[in-house]
Parts: sequence; C-alpha cells; structure tokens
Amino acid sequence: MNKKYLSALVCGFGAAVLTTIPGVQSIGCCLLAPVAAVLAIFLYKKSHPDLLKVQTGTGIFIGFLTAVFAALFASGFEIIITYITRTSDLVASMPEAEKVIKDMKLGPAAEESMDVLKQMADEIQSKGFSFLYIFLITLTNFITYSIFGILGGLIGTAVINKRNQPG
Amino acid sequence: MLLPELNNPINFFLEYRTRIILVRLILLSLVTFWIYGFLLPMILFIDHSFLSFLLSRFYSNVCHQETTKCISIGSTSMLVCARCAGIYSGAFISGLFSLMMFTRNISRKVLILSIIPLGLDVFFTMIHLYSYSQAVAFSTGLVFGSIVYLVIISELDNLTFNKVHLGHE
Repeated sequence: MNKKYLSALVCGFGAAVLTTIPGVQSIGCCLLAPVAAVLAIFLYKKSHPDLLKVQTGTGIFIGFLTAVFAALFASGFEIIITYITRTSDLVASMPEAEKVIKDMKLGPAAEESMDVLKQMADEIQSKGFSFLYIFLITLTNFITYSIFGILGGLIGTAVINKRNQPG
Repeated sequence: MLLPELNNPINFFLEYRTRIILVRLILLSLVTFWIYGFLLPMILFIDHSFLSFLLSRFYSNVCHQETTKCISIGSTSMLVCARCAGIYSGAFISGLFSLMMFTRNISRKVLILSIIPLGLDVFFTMIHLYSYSQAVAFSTGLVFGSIVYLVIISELDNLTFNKVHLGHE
C-alpha cells in the first residue's frame, strides 16, 4: 500500500477511535482532526527517510485523506454504537426540543420539522437505525473533518519542513 | 525562469500581490462563513428543530459544546465553546491584518509558544487548580488561532512562491 494512504489510514482510524471515548472531545476540541493530519504527515516523512521536504500539495492531500478516513470510521462507529444502544444524542435531546416547540408555539413549519426529528428518533429507538440520521451524521462528519484535515495538512507541512531545515 | 529580484520574498509578494491577496480573501471569507455559522443562533431566531439539530451536529464534530463553556447572550448560546470561539476569532483578526501585510515564515517556536497558554489552561482547569473561565479560554484561543492562521497563510504563500519560482512545488 502507498505510504501516503497507510499513514492517513492509521491516523484517521486513531482519530475516529478517540471521538468515541467520552470526555476526549472536551479536551481535544477542534484539534483532533488537525493533530491526526499532522501525525499522518510525520509518519509519511518518517517512512521516507530520503525525503528532504514534504511538498505542500502532498501535505494537503495526506491531511484530507486522514480526515476522510476519520470521517468514515467515526460514522461507522456511531452507526454501530447507535444500533447497539438504540439511542443517540438526537434521542436524548428530543424531550427538551419538544418542550421548547410546545412552549413557544412556533407554528406549523417548526412542527413539521419536529416531526422529521421525531421520526428519526423513533426509528433509532425501535430499529437502532435511521437512514436519514446516518446520512446526516456521515455528511457532517465528511465536511467538518475534511476542512480541519486540510488545515492540519497545511500546518503539518509547515511544522515538519521547518523541523528538517538545517540551522 | 523567474527574474532574480523575485527570489526575494518581499519582491515576490509585491509582484504577485493580487494573487496572494485573492487567496487570503478567499480564506478569510471561509473563516467568516464558519464564524457566521456558529453565531447563527444568536443572530437569527432558529427554532429548536431540524435546522438547529443540523447546525448543532455540524459543530459538535469540532467542539464538545458544553453549555457552561459556551458564550451565551440571554437564552441563546454559540454553537462552540469559548475557547473555540477564541481560536476562530483569532484567525479572523489575523486574516484581516494579513490582507494588509507581508507574512514572513512563522517560526515553529512561535507556534509552540502560542499553544502553551492554551494547553496550560486546559490542564489547570482539568486538575481543578482554578475553575473554568470563559474569558481566559477565549483569550488563550485567540492567541493560538491568530498564530495558526499566520502559519497557514505563510504555507499558502510558500506554495504560490514555489509554483511560480520553480514551476512546481
């Protein structure tokens, strides 16, 4: 396997595992995906001892790839956890959301969108699976992780190339 | 082949100012759009339904969104914590300044120095040396965010420089 893909796969998987551990995100915050990308570039550079400088384009690509793998695995883990536990953050927040809609009398549009959420929550509780919910979490994971992975790729390239500069 | 005077990064910046500023403007627009997203519940009225869930879910990937750690006005709060809001605000401020100046290569030491206050604040609040303060979290995030943005900008400048200078990266 190309070492670009391998380092991205390893770090993406690691980042995805960390997202499932409660409390890690409160420490890692928005730094999880970028740190994984930086680490992936570091591993790529380590696997190519003859490489003097990581090109910016390569760094961005590795960062993006790490993010894609992280999003893929994180979504997979969330699907499995939701299936096993038959609950999710959506189900947990439903009673409060329902109360707000009821109290504030937001009208038919809000109630319609509430129905969509309710349907998703019901499917999760009964079957442990909701296609719309899975689609939404996968989409949001891919978008946010990709953005932060690319940024991590840029920062990683800058940091690792400076590290290898003589003097 | 590039003219010898363009080997100097400042001359290069002056020569390719339009291209460099365009790249920085695009990046700044993206940061602004991102900030607008997490401020949306404060700017516009959003009912607690599908859109709210989608926005919250979007930002939950990059922030823990603990209610006590999010800056709030009245009953509405930002979709990211004070530290993350500081990081993005720092990036935005740096982005504004970077439109008017040439960014030199940011030293790795500066980047490490900028993360130290943030790391220490996280660590000290975690071991309960002092209680969490939104102002401290925001400030440490602000410093880190502004430096990180400058690192990104300088790397993008290097990319442009090398492409023009060497014909490839």
